Amino acid sequence: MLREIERDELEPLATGAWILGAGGGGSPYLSYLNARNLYQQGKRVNLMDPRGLDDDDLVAVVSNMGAPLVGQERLSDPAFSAKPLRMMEDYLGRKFRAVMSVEIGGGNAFQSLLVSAVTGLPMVDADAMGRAFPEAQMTSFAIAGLPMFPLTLADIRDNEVIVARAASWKWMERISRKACTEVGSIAATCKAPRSGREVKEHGILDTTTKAIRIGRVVREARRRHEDPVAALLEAESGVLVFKGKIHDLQRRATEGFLRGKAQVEGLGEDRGSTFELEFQNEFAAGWRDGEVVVTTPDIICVMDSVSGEAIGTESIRYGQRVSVVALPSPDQLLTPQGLDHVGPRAFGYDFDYKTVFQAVKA
Amino acid sequence: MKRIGIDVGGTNTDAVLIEGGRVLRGIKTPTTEDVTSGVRKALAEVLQGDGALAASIDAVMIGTTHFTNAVVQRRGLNRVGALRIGLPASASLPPFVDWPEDLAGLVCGEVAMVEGGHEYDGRPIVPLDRQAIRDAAKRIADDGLTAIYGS
Repeated sequence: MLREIERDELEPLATGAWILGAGGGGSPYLSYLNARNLYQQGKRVNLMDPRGLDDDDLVAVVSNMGAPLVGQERLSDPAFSAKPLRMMEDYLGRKFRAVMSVEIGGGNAFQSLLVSAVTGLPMVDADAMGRAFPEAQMTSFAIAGLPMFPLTLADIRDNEVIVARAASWKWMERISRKACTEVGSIAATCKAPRSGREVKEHGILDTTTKAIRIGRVVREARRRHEDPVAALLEAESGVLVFKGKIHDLQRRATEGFLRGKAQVEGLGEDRGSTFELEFQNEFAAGWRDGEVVVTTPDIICVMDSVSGEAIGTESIRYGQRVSVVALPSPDQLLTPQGLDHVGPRAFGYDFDYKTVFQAVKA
Repeated sequence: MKRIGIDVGGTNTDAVLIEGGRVLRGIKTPTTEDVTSGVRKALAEVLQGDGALAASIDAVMIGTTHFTNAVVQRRGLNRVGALRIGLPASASLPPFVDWPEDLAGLVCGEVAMVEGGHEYDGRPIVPLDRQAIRDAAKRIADDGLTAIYGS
């Protein structure tokens, strides 16, 4: 139930993870460079099918927590990524069997891979979001009501934090976010440890494989001078929501969130229409000519119409020719509890989940 | 507003003196191997030794594809040193890490990373290691480098 991740899967993983980030999670590029360096040094990562976990195996859930914009100048370093995992082992007095990422979207797709390369532990082919989200309570584990503590956090200096208990997922988010902000808005964390059974029952499975697959489809279409956006839609049952040019943009960094709006002026079949996107790190909702047509947790991606490269909410800019695409949300996020945690109301909107997919599972 | 525009082409270096939207004077001189002496010559010719005119120029614009050509052809490139102030952050991704190997081989001189730098909110990451900067400067000088960039 283990297979080695090949060197030539790292770039597709970066491409795919950036698409699954729905505009957030931070560009995986720098983490990809770290992975490439580790592979050049002879390190290797084994990907583990989560179904191969024993029920009582202990799995570390790691993440690089913080503001993606800060991560662009304070670059992630695998030497620090594994620190919280060791802290957690010391704290629990138990050893981990494997490691997984909290989110497959954006740079964190590589966090478990980097920790895996450094520690030699296998990396579980699963995450707890199936995309990217900004906060701790926005995970399939939180939706399932699993315990949220303890949490360990380390920075690049000699600061280590253990949150021994928290009253709720939101309290865990608040306390750990404060610590993270204090050490420079970037910190390596190890979230509440999970049993093999919890991962199998409540994790979002096979997402590393999915990200690599998506990256390959897009890169292959690009190589053949075919339409990478169309290739993605076909391979992943996605929907093209709108095509056009960015013609207005408002963006502000507040309290660890990158919030704003992007307006797309229609081109081709969408000429004459306007599409408005709002984002809170990730793209949260989209309006066509004033009417909301798609919301979180559908995976709303903005892609360069030519290259098929994902465009993040921090890198979107005036004049870009873009395709707004929706990919289906993982089922776990579409239950009533799921939508409580990650639906539009969880982001402060006063409307319910809207999807572009025919079969609404909610 | 008086401006001088210089276009360094593959064969000739052109210079024009512009006032408002009007071209007052234009000259042409052969492009030199080192670019700079050709640019100096073009400047001197367009100014014709007129010190008062030189003093009245508001801006000089120089356009050249030499940089792009040098990179594309991997020719005429200088080695530079790199100094990054920011340890213990970012150590695993040193300057030049994602450059094409052959290009880095031609350009990359002494690379130094030292402790210091600031967080996004202005607080220091760690105290600045001045001695490490002095040591790095010495190594960069010993390496025979005349250019350095801050990373």
